[in-house]
Amino acid sequence: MTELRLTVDHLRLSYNGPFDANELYRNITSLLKEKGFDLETQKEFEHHTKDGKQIEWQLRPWKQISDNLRYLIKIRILISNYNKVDAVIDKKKVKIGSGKAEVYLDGYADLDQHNRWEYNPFLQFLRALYNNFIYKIYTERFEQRLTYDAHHLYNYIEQTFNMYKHYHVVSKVAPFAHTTN
Amino acid sequence: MKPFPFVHKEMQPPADINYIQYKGIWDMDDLYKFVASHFSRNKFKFYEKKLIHKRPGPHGPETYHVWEAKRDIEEYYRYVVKIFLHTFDTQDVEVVMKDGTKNIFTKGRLWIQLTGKVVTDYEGIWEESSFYANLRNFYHKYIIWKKAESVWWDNMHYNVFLKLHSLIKERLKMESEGLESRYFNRMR
Repeated sequence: MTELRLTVDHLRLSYNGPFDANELYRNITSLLKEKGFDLETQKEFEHHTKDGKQIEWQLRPWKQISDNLRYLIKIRILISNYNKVDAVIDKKKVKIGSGKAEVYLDGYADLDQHNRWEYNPFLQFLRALYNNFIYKIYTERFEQRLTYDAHHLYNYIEQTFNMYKHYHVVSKVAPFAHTTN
Repeated sequence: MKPFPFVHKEMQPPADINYIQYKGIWDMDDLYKFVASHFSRNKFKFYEKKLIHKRPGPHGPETYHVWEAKRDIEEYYRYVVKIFLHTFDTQDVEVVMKDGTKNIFTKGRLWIQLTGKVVTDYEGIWEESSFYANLRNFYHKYIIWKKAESVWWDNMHYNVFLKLHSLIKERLKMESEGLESRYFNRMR
């Protein structure tokens, strides 16, 4: 077990409406590659039900920062009731996907990637001293960078869903109610 | 092994015990599912530890439910929430919903006790020897104390414990559904 520091805890995004699942996947992977992450797909399931497709993706992109430190972002995308519907784009009738999507993001900073400080509690204690006092500025800065990357990805997914065009009346739905539960 | 007592700095639970006392009609099945799904959404593992159904008294049966939810945040600490539900003087009643369907709900009294705490060193690897145990005390007192006090405990208290408390009250229709303050503690 390495020292995985939970930096971004369970960012949740929920969307219901028209979107293209392939485009969503392409956008996420292209942004991650642009930011220098390597991709690892952990789950990729698709079930066909009478209500539509149920899709589950779990990605674990990672990025090596230094010899001992790397970023891990866990992305979990659940799509349900995904069907093709008719829509009009630029006065042309096209078929696009529509359904419900939920995206979860977690960001971890792996501070001891090769488990060199894991053999006994004394070494773990030294590692804590090192991370909290000697290397503190760098550790914090790396965590900030990871937080920034995860939130950038979150905003990018929101843009992909075009969520800024949807408004909620504040008196009916509390602000950011769709992101917390 | 017990450490020497001189610098023993135990990590105390961040919250006191909170209570909910309710009298009226509620859907026990829905409450159970709601609490379980709330925990699973927030990456907790939910356990139903005990269910004791006592012999019915003159006013109705008495039931004890003991639930526990755990979440390992990092390798060194975890959140633990314990819920004790005590229902008494209960009886099943048939209610008609707004859409005309009929359901069986519970009528009686409900007593809920919530406890939340942050458990450190949950694997117990620092308890192998007295030296490690004292090292852990030093570690708690001088290295991670600020972080535990200001981050772990606060997060536990406001984002998990009080939130669950208000959500259960809302589910039991004890307060209005448009309570905006439940969203204030976490913008995202």
